[in-house]
Amino acid sequence: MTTETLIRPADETVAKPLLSIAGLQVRYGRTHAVRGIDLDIMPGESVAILGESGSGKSVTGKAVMGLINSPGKVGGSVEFDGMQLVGRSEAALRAVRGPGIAMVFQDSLDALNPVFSIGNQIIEIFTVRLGWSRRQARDEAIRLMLQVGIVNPESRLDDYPHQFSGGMRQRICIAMAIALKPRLLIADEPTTALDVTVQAGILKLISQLQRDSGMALLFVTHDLAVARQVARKLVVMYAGRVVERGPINAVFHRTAHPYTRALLGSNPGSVKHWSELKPIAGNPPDKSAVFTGCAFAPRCPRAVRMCSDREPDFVTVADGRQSRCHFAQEMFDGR
Amino acid sequence: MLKFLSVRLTTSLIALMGVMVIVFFLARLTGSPASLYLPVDATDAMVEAFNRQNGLDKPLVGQFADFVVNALQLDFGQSIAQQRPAATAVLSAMPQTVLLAAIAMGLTLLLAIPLGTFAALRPNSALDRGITLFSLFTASIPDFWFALVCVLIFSVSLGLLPTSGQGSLSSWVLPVATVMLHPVGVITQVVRGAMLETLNAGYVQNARARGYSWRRLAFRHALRNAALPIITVAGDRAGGMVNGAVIVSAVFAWPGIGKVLVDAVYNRDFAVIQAGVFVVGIAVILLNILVDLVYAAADPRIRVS
Repeated sequence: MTTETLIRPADETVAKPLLSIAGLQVRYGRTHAVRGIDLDIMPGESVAILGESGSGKSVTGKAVMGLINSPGKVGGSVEFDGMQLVGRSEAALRAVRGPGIAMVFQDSLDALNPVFSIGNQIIEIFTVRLGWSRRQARDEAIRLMLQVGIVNPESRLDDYPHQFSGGMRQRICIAMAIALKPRLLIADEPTTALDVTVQAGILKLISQLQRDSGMALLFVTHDLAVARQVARKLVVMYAGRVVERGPINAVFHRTAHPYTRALLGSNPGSVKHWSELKPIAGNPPDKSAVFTGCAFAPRCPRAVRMCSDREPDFVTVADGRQSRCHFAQEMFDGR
Repeated sequence: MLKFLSVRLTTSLIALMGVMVIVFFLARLTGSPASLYLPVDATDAMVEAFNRQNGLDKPLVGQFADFVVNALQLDFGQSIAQQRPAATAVLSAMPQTVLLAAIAMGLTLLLAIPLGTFAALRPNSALDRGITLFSLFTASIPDFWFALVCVLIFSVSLGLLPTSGQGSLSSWVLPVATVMLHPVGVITQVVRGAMLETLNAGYVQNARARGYSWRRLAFRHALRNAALPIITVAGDRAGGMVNGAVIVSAVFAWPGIGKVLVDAVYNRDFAVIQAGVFVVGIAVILLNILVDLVYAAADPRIRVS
């Protein structure tokens, strides 16, 4: 597979998803980080994966890029533009990384190499991946830095990552991610490490870049309010599985899964007064646990005997709305 | 940076002065040169004349005062054994030592960096285990034993390499190998440990997500970050190569500073001992400053603070 076929305009594949995840599993020995995920992303679509820490949401993003290191084991299927990525050689994956799928990480200080200047790190992308001359790459680096909102980019090319603020660093990470014009951008909690005021700017930037370039976006977060600002579709994860999915505003206004509802109830932004906050009782399940029923049952206010005996399948409660709960329809109908 | 270097230089020079004082008195504990250079039946007059000629007739405090005054003018006196200025005797051996150390350290890094990196790229693989075993061996084998066995095999049995001295290119092989022995093993392990950490760092994963080859990830993105511990240990080992290589001088009669110092101790040649320690001390100080400069070149965060 060459880079050319990857960046081919997808006009004949309009109806086909750009990224198709089916039964994705990630295991570290007996620890199950991801226990079977199905997820489609259409070209240009923006999808948020929502979940608490340990739900497997970040691992999913890394697995799509083929960044799960040994001893981690990946199973299932990840198809990008019709090409199976799971089990591919590192050389084949390299062609996809960058122009196919790019990634922005949570901690920008950790994500940038401390011993190379910012300019060096951006320029390297073009000289190495596209074979450009240094001068041409430098011009493009300056243009990119302007695009993501770095003031006076020319004078900052020789600065090192530690000389930038957290927000500016994340902007640089975004610039590096979009440098090769990816068709899918995976953003793994890109604003979690930032101040709220800086957060808004970064979210706006990501939304704007996504709209302008038409790339698809997979946004990983634990914050529903943040997800609503950048994504149209929502996927809620719990214990390594998808529990609910649908258009983000629809899910927000009318949940069809007890976990999603509990998550909303525990979010300070969704209640009028902090005294109304309802933390979710108990803890997320152990990752090496084996479930016979629903993984959320032990913490679920609605759980009955059946819940811990039999795992629920997806129930389609409305057009484009699915929930993995025995009481999905009742939840959706407000009963 | 300049301020940092000048502080470093000052403290180093104070330490060197302390070492010189200790060496001055330690050397005199070895005994009187007169009993070594004069015949057994030498008369008291002969001993007195010898001591006067070599400045050993004054009380110890007086000798020390002379030494300090002269040393401050970089005059280290005459060598009794060689009948020429002690500084000259020492400095003429210095190029052999520095060259040997430079070649050995260069080859050590050339060997240890790829070995440690490949071990770190596939931790716990057969390759990693093999490299770790090799490095443990080289770090643990006594170097004098290694040198003797090499002489036995390559010089005596096979007749491929000379047993001692310094002339043709082949005379360098065994001394260089002996000096490298421990550093190769130690530095390979340091490289492996440092690379294991940096290869798993976020910036290397991020670079991998941009589609770079493993070579670029390992040797550009990870190695530069792993440089600090490697430089530290390499600098320390290079100091060891400069100030001694005593084994090499003993086994191969290598005409370097090690041999000069050992001979001077045997000959109770106080002036040469003192000049030798001084020159080696200066060399180690310069080496440390070089290490500091390489630090700053490798990591921009050090440059700023």
